[in-house]
Amino acid sequence: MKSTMGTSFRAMNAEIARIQRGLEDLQKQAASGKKLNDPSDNPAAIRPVLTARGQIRASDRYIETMDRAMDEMKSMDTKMAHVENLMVQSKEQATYAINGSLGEDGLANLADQVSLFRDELRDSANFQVEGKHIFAGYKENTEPFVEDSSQFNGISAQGDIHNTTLEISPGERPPVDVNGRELFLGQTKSDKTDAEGNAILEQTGTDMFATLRKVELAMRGHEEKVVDETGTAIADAAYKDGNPETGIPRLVDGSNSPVTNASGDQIELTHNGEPVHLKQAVNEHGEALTLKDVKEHLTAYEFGSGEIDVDNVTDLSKPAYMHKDGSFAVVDKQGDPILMDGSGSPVEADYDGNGTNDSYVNLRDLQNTGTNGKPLKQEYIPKLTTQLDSLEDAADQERRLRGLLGNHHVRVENAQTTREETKVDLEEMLSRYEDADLVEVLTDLKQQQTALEAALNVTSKVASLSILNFM
Amino acid sequence: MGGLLNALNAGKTSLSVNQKSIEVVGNNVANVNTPGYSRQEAVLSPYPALNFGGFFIGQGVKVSDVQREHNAFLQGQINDKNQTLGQEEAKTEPLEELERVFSVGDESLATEIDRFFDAWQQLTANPGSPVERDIVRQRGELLGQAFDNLQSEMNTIRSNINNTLSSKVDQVNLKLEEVADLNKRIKLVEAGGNTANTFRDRRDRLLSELSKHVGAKSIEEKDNTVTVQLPGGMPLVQGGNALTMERVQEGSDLSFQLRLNNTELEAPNNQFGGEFSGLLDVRDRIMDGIGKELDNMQYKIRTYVNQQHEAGVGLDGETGRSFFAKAEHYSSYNSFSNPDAGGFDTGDLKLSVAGQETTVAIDSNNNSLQGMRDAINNSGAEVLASVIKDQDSGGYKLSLTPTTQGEEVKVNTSNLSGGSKSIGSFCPKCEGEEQMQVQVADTAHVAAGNSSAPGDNTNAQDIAALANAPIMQGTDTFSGYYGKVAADVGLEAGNNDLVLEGAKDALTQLNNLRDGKVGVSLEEEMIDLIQFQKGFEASSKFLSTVDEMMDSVINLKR
Repeated sequence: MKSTMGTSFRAMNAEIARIQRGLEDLQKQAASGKKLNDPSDNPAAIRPVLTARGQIRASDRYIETMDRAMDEMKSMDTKMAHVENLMVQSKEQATYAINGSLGEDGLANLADQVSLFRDELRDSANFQVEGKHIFAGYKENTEPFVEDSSQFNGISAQGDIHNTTLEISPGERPPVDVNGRELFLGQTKSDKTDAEGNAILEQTGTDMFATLRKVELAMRGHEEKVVDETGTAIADAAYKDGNPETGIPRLVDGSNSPVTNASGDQIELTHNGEPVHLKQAVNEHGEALTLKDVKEHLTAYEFGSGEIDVDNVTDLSKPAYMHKDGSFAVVDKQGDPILMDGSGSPVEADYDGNGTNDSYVNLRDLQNTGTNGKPLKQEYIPKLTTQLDSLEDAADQERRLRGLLGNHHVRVENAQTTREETKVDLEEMLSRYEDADLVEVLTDLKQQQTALEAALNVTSKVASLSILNFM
Repeated sequence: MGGLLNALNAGKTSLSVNQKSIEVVGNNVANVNTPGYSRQEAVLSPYPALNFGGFFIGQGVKVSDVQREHNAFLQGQINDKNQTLGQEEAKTEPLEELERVFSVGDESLATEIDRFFDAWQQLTANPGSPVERDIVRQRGELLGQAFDNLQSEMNTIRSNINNTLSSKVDQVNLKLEEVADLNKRIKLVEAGGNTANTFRDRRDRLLSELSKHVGAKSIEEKDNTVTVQLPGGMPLVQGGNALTMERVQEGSDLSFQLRLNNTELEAPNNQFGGEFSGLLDVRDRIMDGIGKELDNMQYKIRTYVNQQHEAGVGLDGETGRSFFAKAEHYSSYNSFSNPDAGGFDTGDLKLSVAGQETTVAIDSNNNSLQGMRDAINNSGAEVLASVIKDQDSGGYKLSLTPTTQGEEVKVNTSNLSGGSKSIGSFCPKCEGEEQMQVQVADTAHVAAGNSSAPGDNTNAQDIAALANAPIMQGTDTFSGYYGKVAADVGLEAGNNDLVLEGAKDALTQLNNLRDGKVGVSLEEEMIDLIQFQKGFEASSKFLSTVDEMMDSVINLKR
């Protein structure tokens, strides 16, 4: 085989082109600092690179979200510290009232003070961060604790009982707040649900507003009395025969005489030994429930016929009421709450005094109430000395939830640290896949340059060698 | 004297033969850089010897032929490698384009997918804010645009491939005609006993080029013509006749047919080799595959996000809204006012998805729209069930979307009975949008929660969680799947680089081998030149010697 000019130049050309392509690749790597510029550079690296980039982006978001959550938790913690102070101060005032030899005016002053604490508590409960009510659950744009004189605690709760959760890592969603209903009203989700499957709330803790109201009323001279929602002692009220000695409210007729049953016994308006206090049932979304919503939990009676199917109640759209112990008020045929005795039977009354019972005792539409349609909301005001424990319970409730918030804060803080460390690891991994090793690239570049110089040199040498020079 | 005259004649033949040989050398040197040129050589043979008194005496020399050097095996190898080179070279440019489109840089489709779900994650931290809600909408629109852009880039590449194919058709036809023409000439020249060197060189060159373009194969016939065929066996040139390649437009794509006079032959894409097969492979195999994967990804993002969004509630308390315009789906004709009210017929609801049967039990615990939805979603059937708000009636409908695009869903409700209302029949295929467009018009309609409370972020969290869900093929996340598509492109491009490099190397080697055998070496030619020059000089000397001898003979008589 012979060597021709064509073969020499073709071979040299191919070599120079190959070296130049390699050089171009290395120059691109040196200029961009990346060794993964196109999918074909390393197809196996694409997936880890994209995943790592996605995770780094997600980490940034998680870190930002956690920062935000921790800011809100900090604001919440500050407000809760204030709530604890209010409880402690109320306790101090109560102790002062107990120990001091204060006259009626002095006690009234202390009561005013406690009343102001209650206002302050409401302000704290309605606190906003960035325009959002932090104790309102999901209903952050709704003022959660609205003043309402028709309630004993003076509050109508508008929020729901949800805790805001945030994803701090895939699938991990801890709560990052304290719910206002739980903190201020002592409400929690019961295991009962309404017709739509939403949990019904029950009171398992301390209602801070009611506690302060009771302290205030005790200071105003209502110790060991039963009062209605207006704070009026029932003994003084026109429509109920309260017995200041026993604190037991009784059913009276229009002329303020006690109503009896056919046997001539007076009728005590109590449930499980406590003055009857009815509250409309509420579900986890803070929605007030009707009889229809809680049908499956209800018992209904028709006077003269005994227990009936709830579906036979004439108006199921009436509100459903719960006693303080979390049980639903039994209803009559019309759907109104009625009084039950200790053995679980409806209490019957002889309203017309003819010696025979003629009706159940309706707790929602008491005769002679003057406030027809309102459910009974009676409260017993214990002695101030025993109320110190209630104030301590309220403060403990706050401390427990604040402790829980603190734990969540630590959890989020730890998650953030872990996330930041993970991010560094991910960045390292990403760099390993896509970043060029500049030392290696520059060394290779030098090597290729030398190879190119050599190839060019040889080519020009070969070109200058010709038989024609010797002829 | 007769002998001297004979010698003079022999010297004359030598002079002209050496001149002719130098002429051939000159021609070789002139063509030293002509592609495809084969070195030629004068074939010398002595004139027949004459009998003089019992002795046979030579009468000089003649050029009996000028032959080109040829190696059929090497030429075949070169044609074959040219076919591979053409195929891979043609793929390089569209693959490079695809690599650009399916980039792995910071701004790729995967980034847009991540950003879309990141916006939902951002919304979880402030679900009531119209700003974060709007960002979710905008990110959805940008994601839709990113898919559109990819599609339009793919269409451009496709149209470029079609244009390239179209422009090559004329080139191929010219070459086929020229081969047919050369066939005729070679046959004519060589029938007269001569060798058609230049024509054969030219024909070899054309066959090599045709091999690169369409992978043409050639067979030399006894009459010295070549028959040219596509790799699939369809004829291109037979003797002096060439078929014409014609373009056939099929939708937006190009295909081909061959024509001989009035006869048309369909030329399926698998008939071709070379550049044509490379381009058709990128267009019909690689790009079709990628296009389907993109469609699949877009469809799944849309349907899964929609399903979760339809289950959530907007700030206005409304549920059943789709975030993206719905794809083709199957909905109940009847609509109902309350999505969670029970009372529907109970029994067995039978679903058939692409022929796969599933029975869903409906009882008094789940005989509401939402109950049936959950039962279907938990049944393992390959459908996503949702309760959607019907804009026309204002009521709610049960809607089924197959998890795989285009699969047919059949709903059999004949075994349901006994309720106060019936779900009724389902539309066979309710029309849907092909493109990914955000349908949620108002920020308040973004369903971040499962209630209308502005602080409810539960549904936004569930939508954000889809980013990490192994939805694609049951194993991949959305952005991970994009990685797979990009890696497929990368593998094709990497493979193309390797094969192309190999083909180029092999062809360089083969061309060098060919040149080594049949190419022009200047050194060889120069040496030949000296040889023929010396031959010429020797003959001249011989002639002058004979001349002197003749002078001597003539001068014998003074």
